[in-house]
Amino acid sequence: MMSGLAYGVAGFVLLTGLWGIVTSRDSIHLVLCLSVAQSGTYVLLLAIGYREGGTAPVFQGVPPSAPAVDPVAQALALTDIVVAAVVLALLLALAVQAHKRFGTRDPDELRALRG
Amino acid sequence: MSRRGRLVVFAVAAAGLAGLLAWGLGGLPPLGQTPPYGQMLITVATMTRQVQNAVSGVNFDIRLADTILEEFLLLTAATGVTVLLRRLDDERERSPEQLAAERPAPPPVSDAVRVWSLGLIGPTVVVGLSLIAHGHLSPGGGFQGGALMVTAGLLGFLAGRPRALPWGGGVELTEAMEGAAGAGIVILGLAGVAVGGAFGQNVLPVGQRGALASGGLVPLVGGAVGVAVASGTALVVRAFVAEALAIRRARQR
Amino acid sequence: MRILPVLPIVLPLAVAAVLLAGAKIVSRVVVDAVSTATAAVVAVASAALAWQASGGTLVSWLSGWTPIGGTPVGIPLVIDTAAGALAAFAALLVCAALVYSWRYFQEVEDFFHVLMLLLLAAMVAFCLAGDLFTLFVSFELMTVAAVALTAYHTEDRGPLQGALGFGVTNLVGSFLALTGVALLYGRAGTLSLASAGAALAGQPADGLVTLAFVLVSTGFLVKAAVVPFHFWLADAHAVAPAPVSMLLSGIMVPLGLYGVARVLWVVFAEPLAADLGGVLVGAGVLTALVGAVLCPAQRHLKRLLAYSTIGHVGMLLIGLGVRSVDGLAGLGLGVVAHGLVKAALFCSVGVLLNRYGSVSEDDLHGRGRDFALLGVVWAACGLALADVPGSGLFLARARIEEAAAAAGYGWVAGVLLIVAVLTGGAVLRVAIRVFLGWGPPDAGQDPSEEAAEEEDPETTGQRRVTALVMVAPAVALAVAGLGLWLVPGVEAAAHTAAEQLHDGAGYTEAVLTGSSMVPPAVSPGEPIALSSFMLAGLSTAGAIGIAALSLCWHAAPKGLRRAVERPGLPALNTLRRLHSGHVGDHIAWLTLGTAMFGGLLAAAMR
Repeated sequence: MMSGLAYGVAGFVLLTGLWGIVTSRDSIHLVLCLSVAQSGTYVLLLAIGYREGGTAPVFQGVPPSAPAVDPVAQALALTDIVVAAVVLALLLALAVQAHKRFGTRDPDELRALRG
Repeated sequence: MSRRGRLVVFAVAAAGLAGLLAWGLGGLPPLGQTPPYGQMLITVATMTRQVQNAVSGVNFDIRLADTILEEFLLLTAATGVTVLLRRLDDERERSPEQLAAERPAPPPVSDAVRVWSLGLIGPTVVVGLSLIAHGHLSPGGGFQGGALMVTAGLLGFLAGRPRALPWGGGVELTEAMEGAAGAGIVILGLAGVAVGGAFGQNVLPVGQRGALASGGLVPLVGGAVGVAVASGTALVVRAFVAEALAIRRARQR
Repeated sequence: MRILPVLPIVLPLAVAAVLLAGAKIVSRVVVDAVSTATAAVVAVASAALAWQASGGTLVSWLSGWTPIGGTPVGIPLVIDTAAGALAAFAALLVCAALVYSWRYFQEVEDFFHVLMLLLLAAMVAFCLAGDLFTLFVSFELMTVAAVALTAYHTEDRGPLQGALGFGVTNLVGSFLALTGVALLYGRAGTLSLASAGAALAGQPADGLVTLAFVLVSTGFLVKAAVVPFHFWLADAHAVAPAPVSMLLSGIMVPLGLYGVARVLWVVFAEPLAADLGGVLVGAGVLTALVGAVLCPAQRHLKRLLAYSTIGHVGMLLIGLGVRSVDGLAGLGLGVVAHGLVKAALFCSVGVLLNRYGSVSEDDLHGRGRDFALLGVVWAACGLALADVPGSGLFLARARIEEAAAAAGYGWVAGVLLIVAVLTGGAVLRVAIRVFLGWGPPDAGQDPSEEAAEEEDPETTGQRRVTALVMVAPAVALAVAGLGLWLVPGVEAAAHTAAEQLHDGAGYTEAVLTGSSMVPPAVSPGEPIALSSFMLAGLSTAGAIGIAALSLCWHAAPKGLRRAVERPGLPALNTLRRLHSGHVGDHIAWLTLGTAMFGGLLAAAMR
């Protein structure tokens, strides 16, 4: 039951992010929906790494033999979160410049490329 | 496609994808069973490398290659932002005097905000440095500490000083630090090759777990990553602030 | 040398970091020289690794973490002939693009070389990685560097829209791939490709394994611009600077196919390979047809070349989908041959833009009469795309056709014929209209026309005299692409690479046990069947015919024109309208494609 909830939330967040991108009317909102979709993958990764009764994998004052959750999932997620922030900044920079050049943030109005 | 068409296509697609996800995710082990790889790495990090924070041990030693690539991904994105928000030929960057003379003037920052923002800059930097330095001992590390240091610059912005980003808005210096940090991480990796080992091998003595000087190269790599993250994110923030405030299209003659 | 396996990745990273730090104080000449030299060194080092790997897959454990008790701890670089050769080819194309750029960009501080070197490092890391998460990170680094390079001309509106679509679509693809990697981690308990393969072997393919494969492949197929994930490519190509387009079409897009192949044979071989065939071949056929049909309809030269890339990607995917060693050999040859020819064409488009200020076919009509050399290059590349006998692409297509026939898909020969005729014909038509001035000056309205005429020359100042360094790479690449067949040992090398790529069990053994593999037996190259020559002759003639036909279409009898255009034009226009450039559309189709891919695979397994 709990597994279904945890993994289901991950899938739900991913699909919600994708839905936001498809229906977006504002490029900045669109990039943020991308960020939401990415969060779904982090939830999945961390849920997979969860250990019943485990503590954080930092053994300050705790013997290393104590049960701990998966440090690999945490390592992957934490580097990716920080880096994703800057990657999304790159896309936001595109949205900002597009706003300046096109005068609009609505993807429907970006009409330079067709066919 | 029309908006309606797009929604229909996506509705069908999402239903299918949701079904696929349910089918596939159902095959995962139940929540609470952690993969054995992680547990093995805990042992390796804490025993062989004497690192208290197993996450840092994984990031800066065992899976160092991934961290190097992630770090360069950040560098690439920061460089990209700088490129994309640069002043173009038909634009002009305004000096602080011109900004100050702008009409209508932006509303003055309240004294409470200014005092608190300026006051918090110092502690933020110190906490950030501490997070980086103790990355192998307590929760934290280069990535987290570096991101926190940029907050100090944002506090300066809040206090009403748009150009008071870290290092006084010296873009060249920040770029130099970013590049130097990136090169520094690679050099640390090459240290292993220099002593005849593999790239990225931990070559310093590992010391005793819990001591500041433990984990061999891990604190050093963490430090380099912290500098890289801080300068990369500072470049991004500075580019956005400059674009929003200082760059205006030259008046058409 | 212990450092050799790591060098092709670490060197461009380090040089890029140094250039970033010191860009302002170093002169342009030094930056050009250093970056070009770096790319050259990477090419040589990767080629050396590939040559060494033909005797057995090389494994290099990073950070010194060799497996403990047979379980991998750290991250390996696993270099077989295919990986090394692709890395070398990527470096070669980057070198050519950088040479082309010597006279291209004027502002050093805008970090063009830094981004190019980072893109190179990412592509090499993608080729050599032996770990799932490393594959994902290098994939994302490729995307980010390419997006920044695509949007380089921020003063124009097109690059902003194209780069945004490129970035969003490819990043969604990489998130889906990461989800697949997480699923594999949950099931196999490891991130290393080899152990994941060992863990999955011998077990039936259930929902999780299928979903993991679908998600990971979707990510890579988005990069490879396979239908329906392909919408981003034409937009990105239309707006990216010429040297960037050289790399996008030349090597970055085919690397997506390499990723699928690597993951398929090492990780998913046993559960899935048997059920997979029809789905991939079908996707390849669809991609080939969409690309081929839309290619001649373009008047914007870069978009025309982009759709021709999509058409050829379809051909390469068929070679992959057949899942035999011969098909993979054809895929390898095709990647190199197509990459060389396409890079030469994009290089030439850049020269045209620089010299005449336009990339619109109608606008350039007849203006190329004084530039015979470039016209020859265009015509030669057009013939190469039409698989003229003796070119590299002819060799690749012949091998793919043979492999497909052996697997029961003999009818794809017709599809490949259509691709060759339409794409080659389109390029030949351009060559004739631009460089000879034949045919009607205005071929009718085209929405991409306005954008093509708006485009500013990518160089500044007095560039009417085209520098030699801008034309030389085009010529060199075209010659290489056409003459690939003549290089001794190229077919044997492709076969060795294909054998190693196909041998997932051998890969796993090399990684986990460290034992050097017995080099695979290299079968002597069978002579190409007469039927392949005939088909190639047919496609060459057909391409020339299509070019000629489009030139005098306006003079054809009205009844004939109406008979073709009455059904044809509306269908074509519907297809073109689907390519709207709207990001939301792209993601909707991407999601649909993922769902259908999964659904078809699930059905094939019942």
